Amino acid sequence: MALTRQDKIRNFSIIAHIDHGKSTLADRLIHNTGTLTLREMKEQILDTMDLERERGITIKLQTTRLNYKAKDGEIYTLNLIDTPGHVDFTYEVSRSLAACEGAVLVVDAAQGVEAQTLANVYLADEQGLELLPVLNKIDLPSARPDEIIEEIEDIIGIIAEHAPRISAKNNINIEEVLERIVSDLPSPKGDEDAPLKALIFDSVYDQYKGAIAFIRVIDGTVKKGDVIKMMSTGHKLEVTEVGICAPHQIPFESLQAGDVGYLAASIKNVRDCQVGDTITSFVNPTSQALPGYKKATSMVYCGVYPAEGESFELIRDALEKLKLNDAALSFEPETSLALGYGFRCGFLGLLHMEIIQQRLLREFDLDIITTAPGVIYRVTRTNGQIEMIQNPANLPPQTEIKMMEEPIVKADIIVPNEFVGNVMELCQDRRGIMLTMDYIDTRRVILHYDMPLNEVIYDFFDALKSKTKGYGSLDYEFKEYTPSDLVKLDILLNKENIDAFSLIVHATKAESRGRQICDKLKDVIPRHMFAIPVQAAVGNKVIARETIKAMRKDVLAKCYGGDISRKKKLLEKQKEGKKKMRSLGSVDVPQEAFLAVLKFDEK
Amino acid sequence: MKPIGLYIHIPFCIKKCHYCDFVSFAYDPSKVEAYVEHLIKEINLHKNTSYEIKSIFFGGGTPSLLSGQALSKIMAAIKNQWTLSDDVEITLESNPGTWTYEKAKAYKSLGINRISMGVQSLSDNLLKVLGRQHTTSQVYESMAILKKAGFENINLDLMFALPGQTIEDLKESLDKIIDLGPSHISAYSLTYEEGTPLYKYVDDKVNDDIDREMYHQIIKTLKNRGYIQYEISNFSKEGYACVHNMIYWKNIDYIGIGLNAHSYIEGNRQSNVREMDAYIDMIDKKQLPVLEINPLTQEDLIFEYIMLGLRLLEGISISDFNQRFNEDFQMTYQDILQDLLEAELCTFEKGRLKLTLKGLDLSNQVFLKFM
Repeated sequence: MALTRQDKIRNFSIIAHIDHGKSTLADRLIHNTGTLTLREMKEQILDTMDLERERGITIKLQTTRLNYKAKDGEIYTLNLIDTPGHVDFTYEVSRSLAACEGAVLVVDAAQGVEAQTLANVYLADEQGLELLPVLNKIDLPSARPDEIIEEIEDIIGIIAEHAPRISAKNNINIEEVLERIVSDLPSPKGDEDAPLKALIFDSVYDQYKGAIAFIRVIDGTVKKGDVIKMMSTGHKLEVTEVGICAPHQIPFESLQAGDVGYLAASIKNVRDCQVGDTITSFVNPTSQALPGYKKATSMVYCGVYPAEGESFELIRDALEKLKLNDAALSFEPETSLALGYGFRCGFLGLLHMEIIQQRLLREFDLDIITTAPGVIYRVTRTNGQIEMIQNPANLPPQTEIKMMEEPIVKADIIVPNEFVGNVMELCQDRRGIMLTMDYIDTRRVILHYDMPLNEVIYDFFDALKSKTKGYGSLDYEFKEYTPSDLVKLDILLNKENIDAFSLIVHATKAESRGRQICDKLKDVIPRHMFAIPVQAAVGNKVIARETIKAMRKDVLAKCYGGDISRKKKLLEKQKEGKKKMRSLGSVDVPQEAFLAVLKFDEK
Repeated sequence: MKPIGLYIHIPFCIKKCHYCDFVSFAYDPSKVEAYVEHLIKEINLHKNTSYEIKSIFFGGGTPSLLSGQALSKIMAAIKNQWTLSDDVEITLESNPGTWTYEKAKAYKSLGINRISMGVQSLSDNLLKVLGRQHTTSQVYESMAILKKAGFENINLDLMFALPGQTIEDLKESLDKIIDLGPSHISAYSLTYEEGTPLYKYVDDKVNDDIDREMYHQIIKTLKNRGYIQYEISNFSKEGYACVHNMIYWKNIDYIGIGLNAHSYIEGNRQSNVREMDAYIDMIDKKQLPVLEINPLTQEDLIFEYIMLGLRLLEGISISDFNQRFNEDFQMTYQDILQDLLEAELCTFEKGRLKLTLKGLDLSNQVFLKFM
């Protein structure tokens, strides 16, 4: 029997732990199917942001259509929907997966199953996707494919015996992956004659076309001129263009059930083009919307303020632009006594936060100050009122607090067994509670912990890497709020409480954190004309103190050959430097001081 | 005739010291000869000859590397171009170890009447750390030569806050320097200039507390031994304050001759080119080798008057300021003055604003207030 149109489509994602070769394989598939000419082919095509290429990770998902002539003589359409590979971005991963029928699971043949391999497999399972395991980096001397196959079968519970053994980097066995995508992954089974039902899995803003929706058509057909409706808002729009991504946009006549592509409809506001929404026909609507996604929830918050001389308005514009295609970013204006007007921003995790900060610096050339990251605490007041607190400055006085609860995450940590001791020590230090420990194979262990999120965001990942020589991997997800003995740690400069430095910490950590911060601030704040006490306090009680000594010397001794201009230039430079500092009360504080509170180094 | 100072730059050294970030060249007789020839041409390019020279300062580099013959040609060119005042001070900078009795005699006969010598320290160990080319015994030899040749106005440079230096080390060097009997002592704390070997490699920098303890020790000792502090870094026996130095601090005009030399003429601060090739080339084309001319605004003039005047221990005269700039100093700077007096950085005495001892340590903080 001849194959139908949909029989010749495969919609799939590639999922993997970071660095296992997901993007390299994607590039290879694009290259080998001739989707791009070599000239167009830059390394790691799908990672379009500079930042992504620098860090070797994918943040924003991209999608591309490949045409592949299989051994059965048929030409298949393979829609590859890329996914981000970092622990912070599971939300975006699940968005991509909802548009697919199958996923290629890439596992490093030397490293084996890692924490994010598992996390991604769980996400694919939730969507009911078919998995195609692939062993990458097969040509590495340290590759141990047979063991890894056993590992995949044991831990993940899928048959991996016939997994293609490939090297994406060196173009080994890529053909087999393409064949197996055709043979092993299911084709879409939509109803072409039913009313239009399409899922928006991503969106981007285009200066000329307005907001562009990246869609997966489940049922029906959509073409230029159709009048459509966004099911969540009921907004009516006229389609101005549809097409496919190859990966650049190519206009097409229409998109039909099973297809992946883009749709433009002069949508002025990205908010009218919500990711997860269902598009249907205005005249002949479908009765039921797709389940959509749960909204991305920010887990980590920090304050973003203009540095001295920077504009609040420009920061607002930049955040708005970033939010257009990053639904997980949230922000609202707030005021700090010390820093003035700024924003409280919410992020998926620490990496997400760092990326947004970097983009504000690089893409928008903004000079910003960020305050220490924190999580959302649930506070029950003595009068029974419950509040969610993102900003330590908003914490009610201790006497009005009946109970405080903090978010706990379920953390999975995979490490070679020689580091188990180190990791247990680290987790214990971070108030983790071990639930179970399982052997993955003879060499590696998976540890399941309940950890307070505020400990995880405080450089836990860096500490884990350093304590496991880089081998430890981590994944976490929100579990619950539990009551906790938390206190607000205030920092005082010259006896003045600087709200921008305040933190909420566990009572047992207050003193050591306080001491670290005072010590750091003492080093980064320059000497003033007077001695400055730097204090950490909980309530009215000072728990740590350092002193920045008064300036003793500030003099230009020699005047060489009457070079007065040199003297003046040095003074002007000094004056400029002073201008760049933030005046907090009577103290001039350089920007590094805010970083000092963020980062912690073990002494 | 307008009184002015004259600065002649000699950018040659036997070897560069580890802390030095100035344009300088290794000593090479043929290069020096060509350079001197161009210095003379530069002198002759100056059109305005109606100046009375109050001071000539040969700075470097190491001007004492010049032969008597070369120096005599330069002196002749100067005298040919301008009028020397009767009491002209003619200083020549030198390094210990570059002196012979013959050279000293020759210089003396050419009119040099003040010698400045970069002693820096009387510890052989610290001299090595600084990358100086001389030893302590050469300091004594040179001093004996200079005295024998009849020089009585001699400045010795002393550096302090040297890497690893203790207060005791400093006291010892200071006593030895005083015992040599100079009429003038300049005392500078070492500055670590970016890009110099010292900046890169030294890890036992003296902290600011010790630096100031040393400075205060110097002030105290020199006072006890009969020296008058007249500027942040300068001390002299009565009547031996450096005329050339005072020209800088008192906003009197000066002309700089030579590579990267600086001038202050008719309200302009200007500097010569920094590249030797450009310098030679411009002079050959009969152009003054000027790189930059910065006309000073009224605001600049006022700021410089304050910045330079306050460096002198006598401070600035309020009435002179008011007259010169047609301002009311105390009104204009009311708030600043209150801050400075409260912070004990300055005092008012007999119609003059002066730095206190604390103000001497933190003079930049004072100047920044006026900026």
